[in-house]
Amino acid sequence: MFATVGILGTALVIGAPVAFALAAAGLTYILVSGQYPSTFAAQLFGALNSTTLLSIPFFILAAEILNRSGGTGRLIKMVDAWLGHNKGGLPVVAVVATTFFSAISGSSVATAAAIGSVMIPEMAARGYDKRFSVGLVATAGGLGILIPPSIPVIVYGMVTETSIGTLFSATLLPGLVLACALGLVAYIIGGRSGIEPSPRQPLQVRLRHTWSAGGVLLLPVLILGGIFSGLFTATEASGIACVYSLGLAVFQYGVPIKKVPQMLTSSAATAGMILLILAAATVFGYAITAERIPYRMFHFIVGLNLERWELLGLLMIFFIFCGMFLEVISIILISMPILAPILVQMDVSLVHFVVLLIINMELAVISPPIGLNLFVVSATSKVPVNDVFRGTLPFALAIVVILLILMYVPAASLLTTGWM
Amino acid sequence: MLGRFSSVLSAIEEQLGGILLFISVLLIVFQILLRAVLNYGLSGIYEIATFCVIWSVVLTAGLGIRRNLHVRVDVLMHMLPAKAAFCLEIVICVTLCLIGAALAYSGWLLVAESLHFGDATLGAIRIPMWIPQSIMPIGGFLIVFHAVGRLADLWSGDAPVLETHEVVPPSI
Repeated sequence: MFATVGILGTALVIGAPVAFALAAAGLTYILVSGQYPSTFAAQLFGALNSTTLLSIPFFILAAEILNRSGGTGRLIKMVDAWLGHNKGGLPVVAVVATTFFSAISGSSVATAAAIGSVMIPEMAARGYDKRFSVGLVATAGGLGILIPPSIPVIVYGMVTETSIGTLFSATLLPGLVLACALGLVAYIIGGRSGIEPSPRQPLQVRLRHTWSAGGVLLLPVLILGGIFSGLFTATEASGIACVYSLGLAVFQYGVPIKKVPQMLTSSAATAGMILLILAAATVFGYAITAERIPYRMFHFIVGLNLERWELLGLLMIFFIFCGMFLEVISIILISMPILAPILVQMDVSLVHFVVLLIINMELAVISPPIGLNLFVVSATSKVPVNDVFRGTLPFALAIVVILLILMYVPAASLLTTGWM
Repeated sequence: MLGRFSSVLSAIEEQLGGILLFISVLLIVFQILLRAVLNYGLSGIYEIATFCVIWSVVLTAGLGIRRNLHVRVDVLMHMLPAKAAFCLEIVICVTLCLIGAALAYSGWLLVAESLHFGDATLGAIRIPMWIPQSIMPIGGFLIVFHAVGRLADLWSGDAPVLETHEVVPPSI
């Protein structure tokens, strides 16, 4: 087992792709423990052979179609028309637009890239501090993994065998609360910048923009309404979202059919990367399980006789540390098979824990050295990663505050689970 | 000649990856429509949709290596001088070749086992498992092919180790 963990650590440190580092570790275990060689391919294939997983590439595809077809731009224009004249101005518009987009995309990277490509140049043009603008978009992009549908929540549901609909209903309210907190920070900093908000738009213009973005606005209703009402599974909702987005792109936005293959190939590449990490983590997880590591960890942690709040506090610190070096899905896949039985034993609800974990991961996506949103926003805006990170700090503080509140007030996150 | 083959192969992988993803979407929506309109579900549709996505994922894995798209922790790479980072990247590419070769061999055995035992899906549409599983050896081969391609690109100076690094030719 030491060889397996050693290979994983070394491969990650030297910069091997995460998926292949995990696969190398799993492969080492299979070879060292003398298992039949086909186990490697069988584990990889078995990990991918899940209907629930289909929702991941589908949500990525739906978001990609909306981005490339201009749907995201229409959404932002509509929010700007309604809210852009307020004191907080454009920064608040960015948070609200991100919240809407998060209810479609399921990914923080997709959300940050989509909103950032439109909002960062616009905020720069209106004179907002660039560090503030990029920090805002990078942090708010994290809402993509909290507000349902969320790809990491789907993965969490698969690993812990918890209903994805229940998990989505638990993350919805905290997602909206966090969006409000980020909006408040944006309002305060944006308001203090002294930049004049854009003039108030006449009702006719607002309604025109709303009509123009109406198709995009209906999508979260379709996805979340379908899932919460029990009409669709998460996978079916994601499939419907793809076809709906494609219909919008072609019939309403007039995107030529010849551009569709480009959207498909780009989405397939992105989804392939995520699912490959997931499959490889399963091979590594196989090694961990075969060596009874979860069982040993379970007895070790239970033997510490920690209070519930102590355990949660320690885990949150542990996850903040992990988030600095690993991306969200890998963290969930590696840690949750070990932690889930411990949490159940300590009487921590897995539904409550998903909220804490994902909010913690909001910090991970903006934590150097590998916070993905930092890199995405840096690439979109040409602002150095270091500056993007500094820009995220006031917003990160808001995330920490919300995390602490939700950690010790479970009812705040479990409130909506009974409604849906 | 090899460069042209590589370009054609990459284009096929890319396009096929996208097409399979789209077929998967259509199958799922078709199943929903069947259920909603005819109150009837075709067992096996979800399995075919899943197999399409598995093919799409494994097909595009190698291409991600060639284009350096996979998520990686590149802190050390950024800290190292360009020449050392170049050497490290060569080590990584060789490791990826070995993993690809292991997948090809392991996948080949998996397919042989499924053929031997006559494994098939359980739905109304009985699909022999060797068909979807055959992407594993194919994917392994593609990973080796693209890892070797990236090695060649690095060696010839056609690709940087990281976007921020200068290309390091092997002579230095």
